[in-house]
Amino acid sequence: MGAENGELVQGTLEMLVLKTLALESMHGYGIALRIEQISKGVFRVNPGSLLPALSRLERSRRIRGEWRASENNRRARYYTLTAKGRQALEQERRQWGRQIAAISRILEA
Amino acid sequence: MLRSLIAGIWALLHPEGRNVQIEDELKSFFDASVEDKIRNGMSLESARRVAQVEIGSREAVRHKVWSAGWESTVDSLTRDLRFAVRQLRKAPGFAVTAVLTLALGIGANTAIFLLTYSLLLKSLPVPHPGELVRYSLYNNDGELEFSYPLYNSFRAHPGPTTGMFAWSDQDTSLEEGETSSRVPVGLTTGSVFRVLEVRPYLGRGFEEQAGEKGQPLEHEAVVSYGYWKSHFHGDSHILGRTVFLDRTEMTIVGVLPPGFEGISPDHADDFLLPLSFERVMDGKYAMIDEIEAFWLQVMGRLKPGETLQQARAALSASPGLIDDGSGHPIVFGSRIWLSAAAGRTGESWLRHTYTRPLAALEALCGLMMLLCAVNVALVVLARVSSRLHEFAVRSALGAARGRLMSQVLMETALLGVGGLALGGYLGWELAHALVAMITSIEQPPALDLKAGAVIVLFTAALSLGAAIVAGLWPAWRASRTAPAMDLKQARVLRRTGHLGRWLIPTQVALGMVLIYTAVLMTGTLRNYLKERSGFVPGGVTFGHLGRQSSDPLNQGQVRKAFALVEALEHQPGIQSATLLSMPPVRGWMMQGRYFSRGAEGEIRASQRIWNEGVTPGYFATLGTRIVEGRGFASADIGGDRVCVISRGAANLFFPGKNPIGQYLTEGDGQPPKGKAAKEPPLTYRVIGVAEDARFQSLLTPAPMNLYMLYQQEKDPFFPGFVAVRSSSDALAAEAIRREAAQILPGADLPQTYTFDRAVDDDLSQQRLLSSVSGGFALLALALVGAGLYGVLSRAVTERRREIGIRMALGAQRERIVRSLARGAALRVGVGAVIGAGLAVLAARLLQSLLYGVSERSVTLGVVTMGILLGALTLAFIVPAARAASIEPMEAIREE
Repeated sequence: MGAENGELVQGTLEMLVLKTLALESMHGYGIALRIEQISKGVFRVNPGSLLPALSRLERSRRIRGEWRASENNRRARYYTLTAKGRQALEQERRQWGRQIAAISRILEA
Repeated sequence: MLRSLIAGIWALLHPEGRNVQIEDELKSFFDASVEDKIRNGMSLESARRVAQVEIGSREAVRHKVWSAGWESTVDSLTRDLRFAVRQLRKAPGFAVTAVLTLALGIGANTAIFLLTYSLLLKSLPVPHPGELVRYSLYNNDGELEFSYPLYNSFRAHPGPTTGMFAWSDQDTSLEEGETSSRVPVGLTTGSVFRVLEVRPYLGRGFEEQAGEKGQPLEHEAVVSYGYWKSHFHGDSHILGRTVFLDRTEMTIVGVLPPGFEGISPDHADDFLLPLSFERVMDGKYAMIDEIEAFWLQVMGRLKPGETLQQARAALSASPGLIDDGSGHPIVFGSRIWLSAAAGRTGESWLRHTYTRPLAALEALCGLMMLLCAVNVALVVLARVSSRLHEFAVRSALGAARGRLMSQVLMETALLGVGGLALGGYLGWELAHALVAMITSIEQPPALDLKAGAVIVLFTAALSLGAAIVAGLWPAWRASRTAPAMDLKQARVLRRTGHLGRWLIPTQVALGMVLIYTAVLMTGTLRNYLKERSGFVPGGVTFGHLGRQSSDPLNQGQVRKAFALVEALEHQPGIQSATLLSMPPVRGWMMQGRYFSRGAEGEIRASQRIWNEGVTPGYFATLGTRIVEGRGFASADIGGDRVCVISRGAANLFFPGKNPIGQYLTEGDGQPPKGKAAKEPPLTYRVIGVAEDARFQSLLTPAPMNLYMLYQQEKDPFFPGFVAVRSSSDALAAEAIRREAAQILPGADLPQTYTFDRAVDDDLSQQRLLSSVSGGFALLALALVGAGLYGVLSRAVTERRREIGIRMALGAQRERIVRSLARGAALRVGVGAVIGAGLAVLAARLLQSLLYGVSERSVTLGVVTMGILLGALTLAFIVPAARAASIEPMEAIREE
């Protein structure tokens, strides 16, 4: 589920996955690694939460998955952002921005 | 949305493909993780180990990915279902016990609810039944029906209603060629079609004014849909055809819509006829013009937006609504007033009798259901306890708590479905048996039971509720199983688990309430039957005489009735016979006015004298004892008018005097006015006093009777009934029919019934209560006994080792049994104390249904406790004997 270092805010994992995939197609472990690296190890995503999230995103056609050979010639499932996914990311990012701003205002008030 | 649905269905249909895919992805994740770690300098071995730890249980991951889609819910439910079916199949004894227990509870509830719904709750099948208002009249004695003149003056003031109609359910004869049969008919005013908004299926209804005062009798009939289908084969040319009802030709002008068969749920009418048809049925003695003949139901429909409160306000605003200008009409010497009630469900005589008993039975049913659910909870809990180890293993393998709970719940739900199917069937059968019990002698069971959506919903909801009650706690117990628990710990938990700590007391308490109620109800029935009623019903057979001529005053016909009773007296096997104007304990009422004049000329009058016309064999036949003077003799026939009066009448008319030889006169002692003045009032010499007899019903006090001889009357009415005392009921019925066919040819053959049957009918409310509550009590005994037995025998099995050790350490067998008994007694005791309180409370609610038993009777309480303790002792003996016979060495060596 969450990570040892920090719990992911509820419902943000899918947004983070979409953001990660916005740059390039990636396989599952790659996504997990990228999120961990970019967050400087704050968030660690394990397959128990990543794979269900990927499954949900794929089911709703925000990402597309296909089996490909990886860089060192292993079979891996690569996920690509779809147009719908890009839209969803944009929308979630805006909403997230609004929420963060609102929360900061409350905390600083 | 659609895609998700398709993907979900695809996944459901190809679970292996989906699993392989998840498995592949996990493997690729693992490989990538290992590679990455090696790149960062780990050895292959440790990289694999760390990656494995990071991923955790593959099974759990797989399950989580799987649950991301909706199909997983369906999948896990079907899986649980399959598993539950398998589990139940492995334990058929458990499954059968639980299903039967639930089925009994559900069956009882369905039956009583079916009755309650059909009789009390079902709306009339007309548009907007909520707008209907039922009007009734009251006097000091209670509710009355309307007489036509009262209805007629009342309908001139419709208040907030769009109009009213008057209705009476009757039976009349239908002649077809040589044969005649009785058919139920509704006599009604034409306004019924407009007010109820009944649209005929074919043809038309009556004209608005049909059946009303001043109208000639319209020879028109409207036939019910059911009768049209069954009797006229749904003939579309039915309109204009004629039928003979009570020897009168009536033209069929319409067919009622399907479903509508009158305003009483217990009297489904085959024909509707204009109200004035009553004149045809009753001839010169028609009730329709009598202000004191109460035979009509009156209903109206509120204008849109108006309320029942407004209808009531309109009644009280003008108290003189049914007034002829002289204040409230005086009827039978007392004032009457009007009231309005909701008319959604129509009107029914049965309803008056059964509202309270059915409410009581519904309450008992609820308790019964609870008891059944608790029992099932006990068996399910026992099963869960014996499978704790299995749950522990599954939880260790990564099964989520919710899944464990859902599995146990699925098992009980499955039991619930079994209970529903079997219980629904039982309920349907039982309801019909109960209807046969509560409907009266003459009619076939008329209360129409239909399994509508409401009944199905009720039963389904009940089963679901019972399954949840029975399954929730065991499910919760199962879900609490810790994953690390091993076999031994599971066993320890099992023992310390609070198995039955509360369930047994609950059962005992519920059982006590049910048993005590049954004891009270049975006591009530017994009191009614045992008490001297003024009759000896055993051996008496009645015959309802048919008439040759529609005129009840046709004296040739009356003389034939005398001949009939004489012929019957000489039949072999018949000890005595009599004619009588009204049969006892059928709920009918008869009132006449008589007075006595004392030595100083003071007048004692009463208008509540039940005057019964009889023949000399009367007292011998019905078993009514003569307490003073003598009964009638054949020699009285030629002489002065004589009478026998009841003890109560003697006390009223002749207080402190010997009534024999005194005189009673018809009327109220005031000088007669008008027409009556021409004929001198009839005077009777008292020749005997009979014991009081509960003529109207065994449930009501004996009226004051005046018995007079038919043969002494000038132009008497045709006697309605004949009664014989015989050694064989079948022989008597046969003789009555045979002689009547010979002496009164052409008349309908007498319908015969035994006095015992009439008593059964009269006490049907009490019989219903005592037999249903008695059945519940027996069931409760079995359930409580089985519950205690189950808990104790499980305890003995589980504590076998402990008991073995205690015995090996020197504990006497007696001591072991005593400790078992102490535990059981504590729980039973707690339950009994709570139960006693609840039982008294329940009895207080039922007080109005009791007779001759106190609701806090100590004796009956002791009887209840005795019955319960008897069952509990039986349930205790077997497990106790098993505990006592444990061989210490064997028990210890087992593990």
